[in-house]
Amino acid sequence: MQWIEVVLRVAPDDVDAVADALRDVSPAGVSIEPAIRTLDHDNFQYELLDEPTTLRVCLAGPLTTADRRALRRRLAAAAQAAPIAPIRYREVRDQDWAEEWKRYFGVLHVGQHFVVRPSWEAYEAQPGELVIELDPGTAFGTGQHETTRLCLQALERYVRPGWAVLDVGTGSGILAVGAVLLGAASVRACDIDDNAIAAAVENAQRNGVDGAVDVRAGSVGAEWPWDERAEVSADLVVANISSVALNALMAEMAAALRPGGCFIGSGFIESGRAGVEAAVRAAGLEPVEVLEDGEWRCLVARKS
Amino acid sequence: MAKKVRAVVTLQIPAGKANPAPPVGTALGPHGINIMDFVKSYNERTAGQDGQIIPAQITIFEDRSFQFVLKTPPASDLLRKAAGVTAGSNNQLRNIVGRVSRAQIRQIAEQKLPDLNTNDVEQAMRSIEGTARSMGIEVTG
Repeated sequence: MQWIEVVLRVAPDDVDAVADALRDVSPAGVSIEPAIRTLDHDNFQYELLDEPTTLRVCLAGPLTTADRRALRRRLAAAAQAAPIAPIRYREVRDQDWAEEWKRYFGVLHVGQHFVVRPSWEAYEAQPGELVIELDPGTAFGTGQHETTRLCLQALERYVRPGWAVLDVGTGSGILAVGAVLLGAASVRACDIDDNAIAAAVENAQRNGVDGAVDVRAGSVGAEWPWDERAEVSADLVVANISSVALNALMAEMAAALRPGGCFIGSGFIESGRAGVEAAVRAAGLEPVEVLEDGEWRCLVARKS
Repeated sequence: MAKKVRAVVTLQIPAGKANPAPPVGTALGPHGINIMDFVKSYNERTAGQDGQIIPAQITIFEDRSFQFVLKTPPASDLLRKAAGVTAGSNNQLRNIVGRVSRAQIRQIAEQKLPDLNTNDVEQAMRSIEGTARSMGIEVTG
């Protein structure tokens, strides 16, 4: 996909109207970045300056000269407080923005034993540490997010040597790799995002556990990607997805557990907790505990 | 430890549908923040509000950590829904694309109040009415 970033600076009083016009041509959304001046680092305080605000949208390219003229007319009509400055157009490539955050992703210590090491960082493991070497690409799961940390902590507590694990919505594969490092004999990891599949496969190889981690495109239910049946196939199911996805998939995930098996679900905040607990009970599981980090929650349940 | 604010970015995007493609990736990526962490957090916090534009005001710190708060939908989005139209008028002086009642204006003003520089509903209503006029939406009743 070729993206053309459209950047313009408008007077603060025109921001709402011009942003509205931009959303008409770019339903995916608008980015608004006002000029600020930091006042107090201790309180994160800043003030908005009475200077032009930068608005950005991305349009599917290419844009013809006629397209650009029409866009300018539309935006100029929306701006009432001041004439709009020249509009800048810039072709953007995925790697321009998708990789930048990696410069600030360092070694992370998670739970009792886990160390998440970016594949481009050196780290000397200490005795007792379990090091996960990771390049998540554009998939979720770096260890920076609260839910990933909560799931790794829960895996530390509940995974037993020799267990079969099912990782639903594996993302970068960080939880699948973590489960094997904790002693799981095998992990089936699935995701509906092709970028996640590629990242999870690479990360399993990178950590030398690709013989134990089987990554497939799919999910539980109708999109189950393995030939063997899903029911009663796992000692532990882990799913760091979202409240909506957890609730929708709970019955199938519970069915995949063997009696006495353990469910670890995260990706939801306190407001979604009651719904997830209800779905867990409705699926025949018994909640054991809820781990918390800020507003985020991780529910552990058992199948009797 | 105190952290310096690097930038404040507001994304006006559809609730529950954030993904790493533009505009999220192109707006946040250059600031060095973890795009997928934002995507997951935004989608979960806006779950159940499908069909609405829910702005996220993101404060990005020098160490590239971030926090964000959700804002009320843009007035224009609320007006479009109230009037049952998909877009505003290209010429608001000549083309009236829809109508909303004073009661609907009040309802929108009350919803927007937390994000406006006033606690006065009547003043907020005048502001919303101005937005409606600029979109070619007529206020009746």
